[in-house]
Amino acid sequence: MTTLTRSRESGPHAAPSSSTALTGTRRLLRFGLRRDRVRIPAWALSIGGLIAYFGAAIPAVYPDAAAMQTRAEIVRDPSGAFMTGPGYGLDDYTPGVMIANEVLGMIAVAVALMSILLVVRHTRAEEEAGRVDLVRAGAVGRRAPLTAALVLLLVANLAIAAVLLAAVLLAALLVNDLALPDSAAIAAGAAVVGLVLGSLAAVTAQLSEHARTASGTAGGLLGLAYVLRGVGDAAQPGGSTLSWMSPIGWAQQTRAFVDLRWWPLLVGVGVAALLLTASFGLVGHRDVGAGLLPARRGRPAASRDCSAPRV
Amino acid sequence: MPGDVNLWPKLTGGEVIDLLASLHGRLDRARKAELLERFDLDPTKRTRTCSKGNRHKVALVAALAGDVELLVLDEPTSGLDPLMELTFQQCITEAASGIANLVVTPPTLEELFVHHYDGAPARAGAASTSGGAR
Repeated sequence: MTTLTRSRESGPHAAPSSSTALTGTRRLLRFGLRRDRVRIPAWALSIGGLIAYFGAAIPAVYPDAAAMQTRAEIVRDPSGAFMTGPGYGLDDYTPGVMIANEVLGMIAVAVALMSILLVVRHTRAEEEAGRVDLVRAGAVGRRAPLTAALVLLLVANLAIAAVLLAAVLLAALLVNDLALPDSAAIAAGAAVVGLVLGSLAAVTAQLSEHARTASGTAGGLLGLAYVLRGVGDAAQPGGSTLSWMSPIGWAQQTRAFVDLRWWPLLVGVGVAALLLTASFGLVGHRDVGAGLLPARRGRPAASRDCSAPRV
Repeated sequence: MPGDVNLWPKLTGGEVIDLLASLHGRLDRARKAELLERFDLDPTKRTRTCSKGNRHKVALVAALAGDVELLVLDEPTSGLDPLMELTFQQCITEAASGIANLVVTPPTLEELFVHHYDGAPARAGAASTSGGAR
C-alpha cells in the first residue's frame, strides 16, 4: 500500500478545545434510539404481554385454592424448584406468589437476552462491520460509542420495567391479588438482571473481535446463571448459596408477594456498576476493531480429513 | 473514510450523509445537494440495496460535505466507474485548495502517477501517526 500525503497550512479552524473521550455521545445515543425504536418496544410488549396472559390464564387453569396448592406441591419438589424459583410462600400459594416464583425467572432470561443483544449490536457488531471507522472519523470520542450503548441499555431496561410493572399490575388485578410494591419488585428485578447481563456483554464485547463470540459468551454465562440458581433452589427451599451466585437468583430473592425485601436487587446494581467500570477501563486499552483477546490463527495447510475425504 | 465501506442497511444514503456529516461538524446542505448531483447519487435509496460503488459515493459525499480540517481517504476511488473517478478528482482538488489537509491512498499505480499529489509515497504505516498496534 502506498500513501500520498498533501499537507497545507492549518486553516482558520482552531481545534475544538472541549473535545473529550465522550464527545458525540448524545448524537450517538439519539441515533441508537432511532435504530431501536421498533425493537425495544417490541421486546417490552412481548414480555409484558406474556405476563398479562399468564394472569388471565391463572383462573382458568387453577379455578380454586385446592388446585393452586396442588401446583405448589409440584414446584416444591427439587425438580420443580430447578425449573422455577426458590419457592417462597408455597404454603399459601396465591396467583401473585405464583408469578413471582414461576414467571419472574423466565422473563428475567428474556430481558437479559434483549440486553445482551442490544449492547453487542451497538458496540462490537458496529466495529466488526467497520461502521465505527466512519463514526469515529468525526468528532467522536474514544469512549462515546460504548457510553451511548450503555445509556441505551439503561433506557431500554427502564422502558421494560415500566411495561412489566403495568403488566404485572394488570395480571394481579385480574386475579384480585393487587400489590403495588411487590409488582414493582418483580419489574425491577427483571430490569436489574437485564442491566447485569447487558453490562457483562459490554465486557465480553471488549474481549473478542467478533460480535457472535461476544454475545455467545454472555449468553452462555446467562445460561450458567439460570442453572446456578436452579441447582441452588433445588438444594433447599428458599435457595442456597448457589442461588446467590446468580443474577436471576438476586431478582427472585426479593420474595415478592410473600415477604418483600429490596436489598437483593442492590447486589445486582453493584455488580452491574463493577462490570460497567471494567468495560470502560478495557475499551481504552485496545485499538478500534481489535479485541483484547487475540484472534486465533488456523492451520497453514489442510489436514488429511479436509483434503482427502474418504468416500 | 475506510477502503471498505459498510453502512447501516436500513438507512437511506441521504440519512447516512446527514448523520456522518453531523458527527463531523456542520453539514453544508447546499454542498450536499451539489455533491449528490455531481456524483449522480440517489439519496432516497436504502444502503442495503446500494452497490459497492454507491456505498463508496455515500461515504465520499459525507466526507466532502462536512466542514473538516483533515480528510483521510483510503482507496477512495475503488468501485467508482471512470467518469465518477474524474468527478472525484475534481472534488478532491477543490477540497485541497480549500482548507482540508488531505491523506489519500490511491488504489492503483496509474492513479499514483497520473494525479500529482504533493508529498512522497510512504510505505504502509510509515505515515501513520497514531494507533496501529497491528
